[in-house]
Amino acid sequence: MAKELNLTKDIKVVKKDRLRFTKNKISATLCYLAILFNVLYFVNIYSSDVGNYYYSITIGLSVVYNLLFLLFAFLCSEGVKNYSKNYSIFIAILGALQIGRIFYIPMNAHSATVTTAEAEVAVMDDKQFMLVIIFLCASAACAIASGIIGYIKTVTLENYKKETGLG
Amino acid sequence: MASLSLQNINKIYDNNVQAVFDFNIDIKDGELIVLVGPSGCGKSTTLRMVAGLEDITSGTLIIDGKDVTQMPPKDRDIAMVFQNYALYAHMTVYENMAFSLTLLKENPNVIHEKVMAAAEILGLTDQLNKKPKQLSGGQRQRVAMGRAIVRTPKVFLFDEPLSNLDAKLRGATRREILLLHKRLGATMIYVTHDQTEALTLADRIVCMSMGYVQQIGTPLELYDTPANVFVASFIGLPPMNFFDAQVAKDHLVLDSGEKISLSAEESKTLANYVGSTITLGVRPENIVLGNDITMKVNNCENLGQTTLVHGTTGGHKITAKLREWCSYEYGSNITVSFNRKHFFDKETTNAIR
Repeated sequence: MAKELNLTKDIKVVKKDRLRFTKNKISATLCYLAILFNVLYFVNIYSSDVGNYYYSITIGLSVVYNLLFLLFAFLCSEGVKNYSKNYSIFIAILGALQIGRIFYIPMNAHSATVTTAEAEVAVMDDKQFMLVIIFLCASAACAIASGIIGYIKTVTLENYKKETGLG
Repeated sequence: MASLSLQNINKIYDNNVQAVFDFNIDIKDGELIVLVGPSGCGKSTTLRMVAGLEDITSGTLIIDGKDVTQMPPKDRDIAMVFQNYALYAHMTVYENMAFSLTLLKENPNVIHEKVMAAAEILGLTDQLNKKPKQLSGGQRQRVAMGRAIVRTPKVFLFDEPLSNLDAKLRGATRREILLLHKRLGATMIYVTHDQTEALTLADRIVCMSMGYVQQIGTPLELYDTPANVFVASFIGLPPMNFFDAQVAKDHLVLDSGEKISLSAEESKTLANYVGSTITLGVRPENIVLGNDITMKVNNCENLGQTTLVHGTTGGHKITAKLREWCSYEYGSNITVSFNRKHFFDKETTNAIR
């Protein structure tokens, strides 16, 4: 084209300005990944004998927590996509709680045994234990990363809007 | 920016209907060409063949010296703006404008700069976060144009882009397209059936009818020296008045028996037609109050600066555009003169020059 569109060279400004019109897809995608890893954990943990070992209110609470996690993580994915500071913090907290969960069911189940057909067997063998730990850690990492990235981007965008006076 | 050459382009559909006959034109770099004609004349088909959306039955299409006749649309580096905007409803204005570059895996920062520059040109900066349904028709069409601009294509194609807009918005958007053309200096082909758009926008107009090119020329050439009766009747508003007239040595005789004197130059032009009948064409704006023929007034339309006087003369309908505020009563007679005449061969309908 004869008269090319005028393009600036200040990449930093361009990157900040871009935030005004683009969604925070990275944070949202990380939220979805956190949900995915949580589902994998959720599915995997009940393939062990925890059902026999924890046949109590603990299992019920675990199921409810998983469902709540899915719900709020999805809610957060929409929030962080639209540069919400609160949702960024919230998803990071959910991520931290995922780490905390390692020390509850998986850790206890790994060191416990149940008696099945008059034989004592481990509730959760080493392989499965490693697998659920990996899933929970991955879920936590994704959620925390989503929160941090979301928070940084949101603050950057807010500051940029204040500096330039753009709405 | 690019030059285009359409050489002997023909389009025959599968049902053997030929939509375009032997279309030839060379389009220069940065030129704005308007294809104008009534519905079904083949102008959109021609445009779609340039875009690659229709196969070219025979002929050659050259863009920037390269034969692209068989090239798929995506490789032709052409952007098209449609009448119905063709925007993605679920995307924002920004995303719509950036979409084509995203597909090309362009750097997001470059995309952003191009979109912002295009939005500024089109006055869309404040609308970038809105969805198409939140915009007016004119704004949507500007988004469609912006989507074309960001690609910096070789050629812009516009397929009746203003047809969905109301009259006021059409005028404003038309001026925007003209400014855009001046600003970008891009080669553009614009299809319309509105002769006002054609006259105001075009560097050159291609007037088409029934698949044939009737005339190619500047707006003034088409208005001032139409090649045939079709062009003369299509270009100009209100349309040209036509009368059958018997040619005498120094005057014309209308059906009604009234005589219209000819200048020496006009007589010379019609020298070969003395004794035969021709078609006389007179634009309404070339009719003035005078003493050549009598016109029976049917009604007057006062437009402020001018008055359209509709009436009859010798059983023929006639419209005069008088440059004053007049009000003649129904049935009254006025006498008028023609200060500029166009002559056409009755058999071939071609202009006599």
